[in-house]
Amino acid sequence: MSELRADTITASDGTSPVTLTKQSAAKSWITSVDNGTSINDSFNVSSTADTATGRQKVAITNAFSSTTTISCTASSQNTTTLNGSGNFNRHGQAIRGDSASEIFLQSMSMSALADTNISQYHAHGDLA
Amino acid sequence: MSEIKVDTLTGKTTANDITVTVGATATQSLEQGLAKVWSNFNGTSFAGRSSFNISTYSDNGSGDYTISMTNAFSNVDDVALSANSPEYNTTNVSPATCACNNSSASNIEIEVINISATKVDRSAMQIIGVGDLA
Repeated sequence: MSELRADTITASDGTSPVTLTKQSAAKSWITSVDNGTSINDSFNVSSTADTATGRQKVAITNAFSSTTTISCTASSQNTTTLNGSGNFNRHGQAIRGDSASEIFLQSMSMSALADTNISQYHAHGDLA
Repeated sequence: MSEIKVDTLTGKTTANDITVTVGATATQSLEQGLAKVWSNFNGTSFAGRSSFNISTYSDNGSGDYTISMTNAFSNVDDVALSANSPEYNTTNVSPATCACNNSSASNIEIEVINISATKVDRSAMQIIGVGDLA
């Protein structure tokens, strides 16, 4: 058993990204409330904005290297009442990189865009 | 090219705080970026295929699942989860969407709902979660 204690790890050239064997870290994530008007917790997120019914934008602090390198997954629900309640009723959240520094979220109530109580996403890819 | 082989990484100043370079100049917390829980399970036969930090699966009825974690999150609000619900090894299936949330710091609730707003089982459930563990 060996243990390395360090505060910062950088590639051997002192600047390049570190390669983690069999690991890939998420570069940004958030759990936001009331269609993005407030944030419960986040990582690499500078702000969120409620842009329209069922739509919000998340601004990223350290941008991705391009829009095509972003891979996102998300979930949303309209209530915190859980366990068989059937009240999630906000689904089908579509996501894309609106730019290298923004993620675009949509929440739907089956067939129409709808505001949501809780939105969550993760984004993976290469940062600039 | 250099390589360090080690079994455990621990922050020197704070145990869970290690900064890694992830872009040309961008740095981030290693701990914040790592997934803390994930699972691929069969929501029809209710068998786990592969998982990390999962202790048990509970079937609450059609399209309604609870997953219990081995090591819990520190706060139920400080968790970001996302889930997918495709059919396993099938290309032609009716659409269904998936939502999930933490019903407690150690339990994840997942519901799958089809276009008729009815909860349905799906054979290929996938969940991933990030945040701080207790």
